Amino acid sequence: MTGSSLNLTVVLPTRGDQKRLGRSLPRLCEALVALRARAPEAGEAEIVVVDDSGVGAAAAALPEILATLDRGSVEVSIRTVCTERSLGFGPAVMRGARDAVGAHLLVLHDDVLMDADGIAALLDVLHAEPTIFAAAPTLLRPAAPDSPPDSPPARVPARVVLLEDDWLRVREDSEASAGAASVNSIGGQRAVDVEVIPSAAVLVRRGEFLDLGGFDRLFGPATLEDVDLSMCARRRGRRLVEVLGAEALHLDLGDGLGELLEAPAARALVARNRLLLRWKHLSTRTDAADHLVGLWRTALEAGLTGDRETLEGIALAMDRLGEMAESRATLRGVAPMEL
Amino acid sequence: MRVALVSHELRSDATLRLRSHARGLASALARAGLEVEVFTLEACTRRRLTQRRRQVPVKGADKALGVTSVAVDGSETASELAAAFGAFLDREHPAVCHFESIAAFGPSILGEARERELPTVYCARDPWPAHDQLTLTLPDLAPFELGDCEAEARGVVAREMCPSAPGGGGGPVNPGERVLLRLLLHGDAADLAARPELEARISAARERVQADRAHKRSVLSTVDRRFAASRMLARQLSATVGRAFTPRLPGVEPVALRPGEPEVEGTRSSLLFMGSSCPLEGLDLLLDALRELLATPGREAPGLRVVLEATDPARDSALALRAEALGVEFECRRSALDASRALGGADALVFPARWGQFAPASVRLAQASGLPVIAASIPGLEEFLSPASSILVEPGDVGQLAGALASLAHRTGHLEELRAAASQRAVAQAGGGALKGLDAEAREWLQTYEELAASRPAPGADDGPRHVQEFRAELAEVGRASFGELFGRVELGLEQLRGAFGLTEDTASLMARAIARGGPLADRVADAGEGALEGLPLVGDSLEEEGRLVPRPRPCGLGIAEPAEDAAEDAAEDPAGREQLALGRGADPAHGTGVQA
Repeated sequence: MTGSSLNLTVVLPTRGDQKRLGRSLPRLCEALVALRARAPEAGEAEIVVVDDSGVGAAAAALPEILATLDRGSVEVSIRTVCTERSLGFGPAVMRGARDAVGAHLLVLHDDVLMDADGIAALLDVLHAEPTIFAAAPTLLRPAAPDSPPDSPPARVPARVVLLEDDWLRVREDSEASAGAASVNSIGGQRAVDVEVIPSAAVLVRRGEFLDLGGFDRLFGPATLEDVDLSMCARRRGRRLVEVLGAEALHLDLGDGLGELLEAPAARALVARNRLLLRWKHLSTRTDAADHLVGLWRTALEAGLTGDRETLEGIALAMDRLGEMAESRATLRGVAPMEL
Repeated sequence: MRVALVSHELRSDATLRLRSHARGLASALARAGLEVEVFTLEACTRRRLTQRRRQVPVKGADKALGVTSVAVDGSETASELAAAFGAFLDREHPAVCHFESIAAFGPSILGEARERELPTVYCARDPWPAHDQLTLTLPDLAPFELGDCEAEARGVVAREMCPSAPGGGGGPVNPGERVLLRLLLHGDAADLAARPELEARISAARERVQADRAHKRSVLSTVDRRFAASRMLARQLSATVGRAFTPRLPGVEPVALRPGEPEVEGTRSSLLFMGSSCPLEGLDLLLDALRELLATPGREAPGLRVVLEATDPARDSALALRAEALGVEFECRRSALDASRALGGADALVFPARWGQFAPASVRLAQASGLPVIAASIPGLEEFLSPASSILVEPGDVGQLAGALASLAHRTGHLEELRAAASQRAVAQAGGGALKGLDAEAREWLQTYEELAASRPAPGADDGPRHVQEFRAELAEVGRASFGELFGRVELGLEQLRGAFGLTEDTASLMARAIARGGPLADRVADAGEGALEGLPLVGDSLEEEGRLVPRPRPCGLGIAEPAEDAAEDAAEDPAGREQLALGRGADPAHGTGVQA
């Protein structure tokens, strides 16, 4: 590690699932202990477990998990903050971020495993380059159950935001997947610029993260809050990078949209959030007019063909126009909306 | 609560509603505070299987009826119609499905509601659960009992093999077919054994009839509550189908009798036949009886007026000629009939049906209005008639019918007694039993719907963490909106967005640009511009008043156009031509959507 600071808070939102925390928390403690051993002068690290169960499930599960820690790991500072009720991922992260003391925030899902090398690499990059807003590791997923034994974890593709027929779509970045993205050396680490940072594992500066608004609760209960944060950062000219030397294994133990909601409800949520995202980031009147033309066409065709699902997605977004306008007011370079 | 009312016979333009109870019931349900979305069929005047939704305002109700009709040309399969119904359910999100006359849809339609776990109610107004031959008659008009599969199978084969037999029943024109028809319908086992090819066809038909009944029985067993429109029908269907049917008698709205015309005792009476020329209803028997009476010296005949709902033009014309030759006042209309006028000037109703009648509207209307009835003594009629206010004759017995007519030829004695009894019954039993009103029936259905809805918890309401539950609640709230309301919300939101972004371009311009971008919407506009009838709108752009059509509104420039024939009819009905866009906010017919192009 080259001159990094360990003035770090790891924010770990969780609904208190002992299986998930029991796998990720001990590994995280070991990583922080190892990190501190490498650079004792670099500052302290802490873990803020955000208990978002609404019923204190994580707080109840922690003693048993902590009892399994080795002698070194028990030295790691672990604090628990509880949300008064289940808020969802974005608001839970924000609760932890406001409670954190570290200058840097490492946001991790509670089923993501990172080692000391990975965390150090992220810190190196952020420390070396002030124009970078967020540094994310390369996300890996365990090999599929039907893969040959000892198959290596699979890389989770980077994502890009596209405008297709006036609808925002988040797609796999084919250039990055093909290894064609240009690699930069930052702080001694190899990194590539990305459009979208993953919410599963990302390192940011706490002050800037909070100043930017963090994960917007407009998109609750799930999906696209990381894309919104990425777009907000990029509007300010800030860079987002994936650090190729840092890896995080996302165990993917079932907290995705598919697990939270049945398929039709999940589709409605995605449709709603895609519209809210689009409206929040519309910059010019020309774009707004073009967008409304497209939306009129979509609505009329849905009305004429009986496509209720499309109309429901739009109506759900319309119901949040007021919150969207408030959220939009926090952006720079866009005209405020009066609703 | 939103209710889907399903009936293949929704006569929105018929005030008499002799062939469909659904129209009156739908309005009564709306008056009871329910949101009613009717699903029905209509003859193709546009692309086959396309759906069109209209708004039908109801006097005394806050919300208009939504009437979705599917364009059919007779070539549709049951699965196509079921899929159309599934699309309707997905669009309108009813809380309860109420099935009425569904023979034309087929049994699969019931499965669509069950697949979506919707509470279901079925009310039999005919013997469809047991038979496809709803009149329970053979091609030669011979009746058969409910449950007689053998008779139905023979009837099926006879219809296939004797194409010259009239559709409404009767003997074939072709003499060779007459012999064959008799053998097929009434031949015994020995007769048929001599014709093994006929025996085989009947056997195959019997298997089909039994398989169809088993399928209906299977899907009906998944319906939450089963009712029948008469006690007799409920009893017989329960026994035949093996599933319990509860009697729920249809409501009826009495009409005012004899408006303004003073009765003169002893003058010649005026009897009324109100129905159709279908042989089963026995108008030909009535004319035979009248002719017999007129031909018998010393016997006097009452005056007779015939009011028909047009069915078969050739048959209607033939009966009109016969009637006029006998001095009968004859009226046959394709459009709305005025029940009040028809019944109002009559001393008694004559309904000499041969068979196959289940709570016929004309008989119930007459009794509820205090009018005596001369009718055939068949089970589906007797239940609705009181002995003191009616005369029953043997079905098909012209001599007895002539005798009954003669006994009521003058406004004296017997007729006055019957009238007094009918009037007394109409007053004493008004609103109850067989004479209950449509609103009373609607209240009974409302109670049934509420019981069913209360027995089912909202799906998934308590699943997941709190923030997910909150989203589910938002989604459920959107899901409860009718399709029109949903579109209205989107439309309103688009207007809000336009204002919020400070756009000076008006909505009409934005919509025009939307069309210009191409795709199905633009194609529809182009088609309409060339007079093509393809791809008509699903969300209604039409408006009806109870009892008559008024011009359907059309949003200029959107290409949401009516078929040329319909538009012409509408213009003839109301030359004033009210223009209105019912997309989204059609529930308020006095105001459009605010989106005027």
